[in-house]
Amino acid sequence: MRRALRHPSFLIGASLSAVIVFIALVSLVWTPHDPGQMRILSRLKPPDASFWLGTDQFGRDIASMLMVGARNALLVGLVAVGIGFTFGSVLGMLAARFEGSLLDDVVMRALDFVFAFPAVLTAILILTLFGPGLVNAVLAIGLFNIPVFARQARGATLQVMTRDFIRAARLAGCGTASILVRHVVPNILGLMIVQASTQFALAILAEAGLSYLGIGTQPPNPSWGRMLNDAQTFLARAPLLAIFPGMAIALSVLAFNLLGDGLRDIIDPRLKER
Amino acid sequence: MSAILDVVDLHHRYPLPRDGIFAQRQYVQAVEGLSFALEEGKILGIVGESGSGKSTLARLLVALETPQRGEVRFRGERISGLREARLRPFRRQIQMIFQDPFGSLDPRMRIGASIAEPLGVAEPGLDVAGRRRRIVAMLERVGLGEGAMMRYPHQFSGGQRQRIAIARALITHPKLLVADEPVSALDVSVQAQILNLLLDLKLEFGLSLVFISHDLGIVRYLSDRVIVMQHGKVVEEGESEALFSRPAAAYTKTLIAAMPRL
Ligand SMILES: Nc1ncnc2c1ncn2[C@@H]1O[C@H](COP(=O)(O)OP(=O)(O)O)[C@@H](O)[C@H]1O
Ligand SMILES: [Mg+2]
Repeated sequence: MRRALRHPSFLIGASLSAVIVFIALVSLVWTPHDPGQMRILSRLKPPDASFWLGTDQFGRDIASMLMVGARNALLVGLVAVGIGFTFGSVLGMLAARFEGSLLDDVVMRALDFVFAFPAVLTAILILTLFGPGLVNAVLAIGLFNIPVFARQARGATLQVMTRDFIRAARLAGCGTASILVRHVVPNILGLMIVQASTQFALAILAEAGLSYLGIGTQPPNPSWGRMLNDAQTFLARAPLLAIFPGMAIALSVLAFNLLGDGLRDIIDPRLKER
Repeated sequence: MSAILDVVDLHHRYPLPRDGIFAQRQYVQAVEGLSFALEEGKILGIVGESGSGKSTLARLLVALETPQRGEVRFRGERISGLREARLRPFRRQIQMIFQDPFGSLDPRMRIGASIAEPLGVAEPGLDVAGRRRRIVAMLERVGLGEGAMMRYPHQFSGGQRQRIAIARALITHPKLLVADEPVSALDVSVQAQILNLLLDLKLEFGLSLVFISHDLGIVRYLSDRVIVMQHGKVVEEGESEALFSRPAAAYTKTLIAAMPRL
């Protein structure tokens, strides 16, 4: 814990992430304005006391849209990483427990298969086939997260399984399920959370990318990626319109990456200690 | 004369990593044709240099590994090669202590939960209070207090962890205990304490003991019978005193000659 407080990337990453989460939570109960309300008379206004970050081409309040956009980004990250984490961890642990078996082979080959496709192109393909939208985008991003977590879980589990306390658990009469749940999970969880943090950053970026292309989050739900796209037309007249969502995306990705790096450094020495 | 443990022509090997997918698989023969028996209530010492297959033998004896050939019998019943479910009734009767007290306790599990684990499987009917009483009594018996229950392994020294490992191994009142170099990783000053604790508990619990070590002095002090192993095979076997005073095999003589004298 003390080490955590002295670690710069952890500190910066954790505080930034906390701010973003806080803003997203506040947006549930309060935003400066209704983010969807259009105002013909106050289009493309620069920042002022009422519209802190100005308005867009429909006169909507940018600050409010960014706040709700944060909620959208976090939700996408949470669900997509949740899908990858859950399915990936379970598959990876089972593959490791039955290392070398048919199950292991099938799981690992299936994951190679998913890995072999370029993630973004395939996500675009999926969304073109099954229709654009937030739900499909989240599912596509989640799908590509599964192999990442599965590999990590498999490797970490294989390592834990060689240790004597696993043998001791078998001698105690524990079955496979209880060994995985009681001994493997607590010992690989730290690593998995580090991975989750990094994947979270990537998921936010992926959603922004897909929404920018118009196949992710659909109107009227605000998304940073779509705000960026909307801003393109007015880049010369109102560059701030692009800068704000761009910064929101960059800062969030940075925040969760730093958090992941920091966590990795903090957790790693403890894993090496026998 | 009845044997608690019979070992018949035991073989075990480990596959080596393959050089290439078309290369022939190579193996390390860790245990090759071991046969012996352990009498009820006795201590069998097993000595041999590092790499002679002692730990492999230990894992075969407690059915953590399935032998490539041969079998292990506990009170006349074959336990080697059984499925985990068929093995369960034997698990509580056959326990093991590992060499490395830093690796044999789950770093993420409190000591109380760790000791409760075998008890929960062996006696699922025991209520929370009863289970707690048993754990506390066992902890006190190995020289630790009730306070240890809520703590984690890293809060204890090597000797204390080995005491915890002993408490965990004996909580189900096993009949056979396999101790794989239980004091090798400990400071010399602590070794005697742990050995004496083991000896006391052996009498108290009516244990039969397989005691593995590369320290001939300790094996001589503890054992009724001794087996000398080299390259996975038995080089010599005999009553402890006879074997140490009149070794027959050349290998045993070299080992004894290499012993530090007091
Ligand atoms: N899990 C394993 N995989 C591959 N080889 C092993 C494994 N465990 C032990 N060996 C090999 O088997 C032989 C005997 O090892 P071991 O039983 O640990 O001997 P000891 O306990 O007497 O030092 C050694 O050559 C060792 O390298
Ligand atoms: Mg060994």
